[in-house]
Amino acid sequence: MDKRLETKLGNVILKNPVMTASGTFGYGEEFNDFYDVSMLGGIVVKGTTGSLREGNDAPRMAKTPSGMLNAVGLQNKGVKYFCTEIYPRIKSFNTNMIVNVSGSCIEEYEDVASQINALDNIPAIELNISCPNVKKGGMTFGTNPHSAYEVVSHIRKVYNKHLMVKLTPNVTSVVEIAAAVEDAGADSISLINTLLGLAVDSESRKALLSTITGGLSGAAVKPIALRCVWQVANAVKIPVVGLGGIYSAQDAVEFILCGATAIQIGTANFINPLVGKQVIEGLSEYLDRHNLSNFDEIRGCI
Amino acid sequence: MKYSIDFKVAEKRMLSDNFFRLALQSENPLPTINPGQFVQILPKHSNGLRLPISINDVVSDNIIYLLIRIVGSGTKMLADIEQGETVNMILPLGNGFPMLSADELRKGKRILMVGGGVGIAPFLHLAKEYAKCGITTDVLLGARTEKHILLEKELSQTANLHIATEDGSCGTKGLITAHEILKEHFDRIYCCGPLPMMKAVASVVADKSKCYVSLEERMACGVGACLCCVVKTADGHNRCTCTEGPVFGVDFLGW
Repeated sequence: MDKRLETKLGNVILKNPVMTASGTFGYGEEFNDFYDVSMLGGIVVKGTTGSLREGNDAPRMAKTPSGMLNAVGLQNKGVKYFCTEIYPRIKSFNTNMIVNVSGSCIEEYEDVASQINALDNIPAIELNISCPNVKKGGMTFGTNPHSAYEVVSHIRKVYNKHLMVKLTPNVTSVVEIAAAVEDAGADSISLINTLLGLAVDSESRKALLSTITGGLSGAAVKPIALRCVWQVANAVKIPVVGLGGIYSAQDAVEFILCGATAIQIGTANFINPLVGKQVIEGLSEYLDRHNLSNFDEIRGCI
Repeated sequence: MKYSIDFKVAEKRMLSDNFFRLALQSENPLPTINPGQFVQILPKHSNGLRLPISINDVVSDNIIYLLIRIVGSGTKMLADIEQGETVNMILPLGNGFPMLSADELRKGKRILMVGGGVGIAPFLHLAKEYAKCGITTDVLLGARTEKHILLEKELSQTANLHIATEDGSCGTKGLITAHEILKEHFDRIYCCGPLPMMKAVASVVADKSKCYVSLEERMACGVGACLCCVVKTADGHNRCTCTEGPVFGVDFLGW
């Protein structure tokens, strides 16, 4: 373990700044065959809602140039199932297991957050106010500073550990939303969630997703993610976790240079199941190569 | 256990304009691979997703065969690979075809495999596994024309091969579902091919509980993490084709 990579995300200590993004890494178990996932700085598990959700109909994904669209729609078995069936299996992973909390109304977010609050080995939640694939809730909370403030301040009252809030880039000013979320008591901000997109098959004259629109992720979104992280990191005092198109240590460093305290790897896990491990190793090599003692020396220098 | 392994292309054979077959060799012995399991292969120079491809055959302990139809940009990219080059695959993925046990097979059971087009791919492996148990299976291969018949020689060496072509250029003329052999009694029927064809086969078999199909859905991770490749089963739940399939009982799907 490289001590130089240790990162403080508010009151949460990460072994390194490398986390995996919600919805791309299951519950960590799915990737443990490939490498010891406990070496990660954190694992953000699949979006969890108040009760079971079947998600959207297939087809739910489409390949796009340098990326993909998804419209999973928060399929999960609900918070009770998570607490009783999944948590006992994953609580022994020696890393920060973070639960992505979703809902269609404030009460549902509160219900999930307060049940997760009771779990000793979950040091943080990621409040998802940015999912583009559900009709109610999700992104609608995260596209308006007033509703973003409202939901975060409600959760702040029922959740007393680290509260990370995940923002959408599908807004006019991501800085306005970030400021509202900080005012409401968030401990950190993660961004970006997927960009709303659409893919069409000209031969069949149909949309490629059952929901017509879906969330775009992958290398294609990296420049937008870097811009959002840079804007937000310059506007708020709380730490920023950057994600969007990170496939390598080089990509991760770009986010750190734009002001990210930590990063999350998403779509790249599908292409290279070992990417998390390789990014961690690559960050150490970067410090060696540039003769740095840690990333604080270069963070936010853009 | 799943592995990410680099393979060398030992052989690439173009079968016709749209089909090709790869023999891929790993340096070390491979884990046990069951017929019907699949790989997630990463075309070289791709920064896109992997492609899920069913395993066509396993030879010795380190060679895998894949039978691929060029349909889109991913498979086109895959077809660019040349002998001697290296390609990465994640394997073995999914659940294979549930096979009858050796005890049951001793009672003289009959097995049928129905493959439409490139859907014949996993049945070479399956027919060989049954052959190891002393069972000669029946394989019904359906194609549009004689030109689209794949692996005729390999299959006829290990199974009783029946062929149906839509234009009658080889075997029986007509759709695969009209073939006489589907009226005979079988203790297991396995089916792989285009969705409408599999549904049609499922609708003509006498006992659906003995019929298994291998599904293909658009897939991202292949390991049950992204929940993209779901299929709705009879109980109304969405299930991952990658981890709960790709082979499903027809009853379970509610077809």
